[in-house]
Amino acid sequence: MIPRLNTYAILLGLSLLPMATGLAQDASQPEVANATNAYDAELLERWEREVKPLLQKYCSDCHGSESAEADVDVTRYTDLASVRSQPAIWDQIRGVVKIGAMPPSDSEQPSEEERLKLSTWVVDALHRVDCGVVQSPGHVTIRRLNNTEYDNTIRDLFDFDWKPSTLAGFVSDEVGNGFDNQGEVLSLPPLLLEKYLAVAEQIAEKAIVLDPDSLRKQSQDGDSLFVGEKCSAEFLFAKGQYKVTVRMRFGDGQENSVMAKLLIDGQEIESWEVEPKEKSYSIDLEFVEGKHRIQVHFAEDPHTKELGKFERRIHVERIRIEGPEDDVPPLPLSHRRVIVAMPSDTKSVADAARENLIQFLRLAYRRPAEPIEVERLVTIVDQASQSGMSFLESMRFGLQAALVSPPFLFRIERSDGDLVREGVRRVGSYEMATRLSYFLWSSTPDEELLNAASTNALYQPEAIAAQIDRMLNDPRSEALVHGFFAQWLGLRNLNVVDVDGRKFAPWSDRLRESMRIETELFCKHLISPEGKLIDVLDADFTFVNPRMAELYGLEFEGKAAVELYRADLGEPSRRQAKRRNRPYVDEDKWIKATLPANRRGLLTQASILTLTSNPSRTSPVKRGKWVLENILGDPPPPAPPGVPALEETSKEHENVSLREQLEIHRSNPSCASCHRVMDPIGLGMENFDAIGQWREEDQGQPIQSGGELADGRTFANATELLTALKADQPKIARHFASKMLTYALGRGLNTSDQCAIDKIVEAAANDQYRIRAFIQAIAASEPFTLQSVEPQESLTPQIAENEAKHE
Amino acid sequence: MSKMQAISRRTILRGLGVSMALPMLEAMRPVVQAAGATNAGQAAPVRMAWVFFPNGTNAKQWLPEGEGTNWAVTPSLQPLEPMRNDFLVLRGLAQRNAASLGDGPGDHARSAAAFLTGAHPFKTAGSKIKVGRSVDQIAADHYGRQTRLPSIELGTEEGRSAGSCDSGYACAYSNNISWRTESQPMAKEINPKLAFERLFAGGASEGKESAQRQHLKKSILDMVTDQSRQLQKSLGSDDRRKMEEYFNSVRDIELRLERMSQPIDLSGIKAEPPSGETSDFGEHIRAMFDLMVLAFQTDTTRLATFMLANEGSNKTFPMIEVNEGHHELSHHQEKQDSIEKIAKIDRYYSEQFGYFLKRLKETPEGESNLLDNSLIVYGGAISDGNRHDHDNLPILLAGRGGGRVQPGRLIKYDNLPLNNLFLSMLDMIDVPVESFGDSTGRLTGLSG
Repeated sequence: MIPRLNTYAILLGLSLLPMATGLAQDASQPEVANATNAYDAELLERWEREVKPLLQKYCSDCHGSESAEADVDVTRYTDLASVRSQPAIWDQIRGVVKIGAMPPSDSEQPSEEERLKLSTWVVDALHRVDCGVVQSPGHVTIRRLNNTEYDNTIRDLFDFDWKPSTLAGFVSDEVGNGFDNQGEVLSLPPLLLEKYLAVAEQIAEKAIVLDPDSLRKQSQDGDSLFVGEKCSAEFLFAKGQYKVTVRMRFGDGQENSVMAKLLIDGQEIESWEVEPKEKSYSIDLEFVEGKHRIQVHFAEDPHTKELGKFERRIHVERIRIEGPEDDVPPLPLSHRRVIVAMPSDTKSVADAARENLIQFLRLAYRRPAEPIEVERLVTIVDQASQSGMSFLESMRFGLQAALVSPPFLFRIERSDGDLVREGVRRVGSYEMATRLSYFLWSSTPDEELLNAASTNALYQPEAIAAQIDRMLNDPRSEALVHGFFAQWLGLRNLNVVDVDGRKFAPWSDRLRESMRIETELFCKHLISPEGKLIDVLDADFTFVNPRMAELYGLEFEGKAAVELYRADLGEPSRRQAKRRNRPYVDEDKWIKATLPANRRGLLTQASILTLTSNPSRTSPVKRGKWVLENILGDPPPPAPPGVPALEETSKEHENVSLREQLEIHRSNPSCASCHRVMDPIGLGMENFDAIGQWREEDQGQPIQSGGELADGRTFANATELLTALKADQPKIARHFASKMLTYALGRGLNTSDQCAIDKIVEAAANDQYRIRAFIQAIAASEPFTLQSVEPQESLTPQIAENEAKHE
Repeated sequence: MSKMQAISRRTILRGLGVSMALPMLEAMRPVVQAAGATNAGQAAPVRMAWVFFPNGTNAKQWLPEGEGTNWAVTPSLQPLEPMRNDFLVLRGLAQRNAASLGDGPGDHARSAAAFLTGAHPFKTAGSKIKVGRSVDQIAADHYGRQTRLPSIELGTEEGRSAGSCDSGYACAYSNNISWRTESQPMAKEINPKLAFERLFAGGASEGKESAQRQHLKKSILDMVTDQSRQLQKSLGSDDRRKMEEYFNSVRDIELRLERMSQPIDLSGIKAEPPSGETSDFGEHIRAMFDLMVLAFQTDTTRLATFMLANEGSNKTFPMIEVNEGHHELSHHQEKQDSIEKIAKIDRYYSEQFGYFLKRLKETPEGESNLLDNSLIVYGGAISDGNRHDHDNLPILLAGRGGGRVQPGRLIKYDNLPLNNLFLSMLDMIDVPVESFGDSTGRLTGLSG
């Protein structure tokens, strides 16, 4: 490759030296290529001449060796290496100085020029590397499939529709760098391996069908349905006649009966009168070959007064099919994937097992298996067979073993990519397929990706780009919403947010759920071809169901909120009903809706506004902090312990608004430094209450949402605030690119990744900051397409010991 | 909610049962004999548990005053009053490695991580997690191999699944107190039903696996062991560390399979599998305590850790009219209302702990009872949640450790490391450890 020459390198007259190999990857040991020495020398010179005197003058009184407030002692840092060894602290110093949060307002203030000098220097020292010099692409530690990836992988390998992680209670994944897919952090404790073993056994039993006739009768557990709800089951059918049976009863201690509808693939087929006594309801039906969905729908309850009561549910015990009448039931895809050969007169058990395993392991290991890998499993199948088990039963053991083996459980990138320069190799073709599929789908590569890998097509940028577009158009890309976006925005925390339901009447778990879905649909829009980063701040649309429409005061398909309720639901029971039941005609219907002028983009969505509130009131501080942290990428430092609380202020000044309380709070210089940055943003959103409803006043006080950002820009309300933030798009883009790259790679970023981020942001900027442009540029970036070869060390004592034990 | 799961939870659990085989026990025989660790007539083994609560306390209402047997139960410990002669109050202990030591904020993460490891965690949001081995795992190495499970790790809260957990510390630090190696936390089981299945595998009724299937399972483990060893050779250092974790886990399971090859008979013991998830927090905690009692009683394990909640937990306690989050409240800023509520939560936790002690005491063992043969630490590594201090910690030590400890007293130490207590405990089960964290020696006076 041809490294980009930047002006710096040219000015300094540097030649491009090949990079030393095997460099440390973490920020604490920045790489020092020969060519960067001059760069560092210049930095050091600026440190001595400009930076150190500033620190001495403005900072060391409070942050010196005598009193290292907030545990920051600037006098500890004497050279470049010591600064670089504490990147988090220096980023914080840079942040607070740049935004004017430090020094506190009662201390002597540096000039704007001085602030800029310091912050630029820190950026140059920590984040700017000489992009003219060849940078290391970094090394991704082998990654265990996290729980989501495991579930999706099993789903796609076997065409199963269940979540092993939930069913077997997998240990929750550890989170690092803000995401749950980071190789270094994901560990494999014995407890989890135990569960992998147990689940593998279950999968093998389900995947390989010993006797197709056993599929003549199939059933799935049902659910208890409130009026309006459906439960469903999906089965694989042959062409022919089947008997469909639903075992169910109505209510608890009810006397009357209600109607339930039977739907096949969404079409109403039959109505049954469901009685209080549990009974089976059957119908004979002709099916065409393939998968069909059977649903039971509790469409209406005529007893409106008791609508949606717990005692008035339909309990569906089981949905069962029996058939086909004159044919053999079809074998599921899982079976056909694993079993392609059976032993015969001319084919030994081992040969048949080998044939099966070679083709299955290509899917399970996401690359062709090595002969030794195949043979190990063949041995297990053979052993089982020799102990008297049938071939198919024996294959189950082979399958079980494959599913607990390292190449399945871990994403291991070995050395099948070419060396592009010393210590750096291309990510191999199959490895690329795997990187792409886990980035965009959180799942295993499909046949098309594996085929592309087998022809080495995934070494070509155009081919990768085409695959990405295909993959993003596939429903599996929803994983990017649940994986990347939900974690970037902290949306998963919405599940554990507590809201004071007595204070906020519309609050219920259904509202929580609706809020989450709204934001997920919005993020789905973001990854569509039209989605742009700026939509986060200024989209004039969102997605609503009747519940969200009511919360936002929007009409839903031309109907006012009151018309969205079931016609039979009287006013008095509505409020009550809203909490736990289904008062709306069609709660599950989601439409794209135009927002009123006072809401724009993602930041005014109820989900975000709720997860940044306290249970009983809004928290301008949390909201401001959230925006700084997640959108702008400038996290404020945490509050020092022992500062007087907002509550203290409120006790003394009981009748003042939250805004005034915060102002009093800010009059304390040690608080003011950070709060003058956070608070205005949060206060700008004060027209939205703790669950995101619009309001004009708070506790009788009219709300003023106008304010001034730390850099002096002013705004009159939330929408103006969002407009002001739009000017920060390059910064937002940079933060977004860093987060997404972290997610895509499964590792924390290094200084050397900054050059890649430059390029990603540049590419996205040239394409109107479309989200897909970010994704494409990330997949084309060096850290994604190249891998540093990790130096092999001698055996650690532990391994040596293990080796010894085994030999 | 979609019920498209073609396989029910029950089936999976059954699967777990089958695959894990069943522990051996004849319930009517003295428990200690069952594991084959000790012969009849020998003393019962000392069981140890560490029960952790997060966010510190309202110290004024928690920490008792007095000396020796002359001390008064405080409001927060009121529920433990009937058991006051069964535990020691240890005052003046500190876990200094939970303090910042120049690493800035993040006291919650640090205190969970340091609590039982005695080590100062390396500050990282992801890469290179490192703290130290925890005392229970050190004990497990030397002592726990005699039982079917070396140790059990329980909790009630899942790990947080978004963002970093505390000021730049990876969530692993806040979510775990038990560390198998300095970089590998022992994940905890939070679902009582699954924990039960794991410990007792459905009881004898499921039947034992055929020797043939056992043998094949062993082959699978051998196969993956070979594979991981081969892989290790071709990997760089970080990757190799991950493979090593895998390798160690496989070995643990191999050992376990060997030890659990006989079925258990729980018929003589009052043991019902707990129901799956419960929405009642107290019920959840008590179900876990029940399991610990049962595990000790059947000598399935002798070592347990239990996090009543994760460090920094922001759980609300509507059942005692505390609707604010625990963590949020713990930063009470001396606000009376919040301080009172903290005390209520402290008391709530004490009540649950009291249940555990009572259950242990009511479980006879030989001439004595299970509590007398145990050493149970109750506490955390933050003293006051508002100040995030790590000295004068709230620490109780319950049980007699088979006569090695004389409970019922309050002992005041002059700011000694909590790690000294752990050394003393390890001594009591003959696990020779020179030093632990910042330990300065053994605690004196425990035996009276």
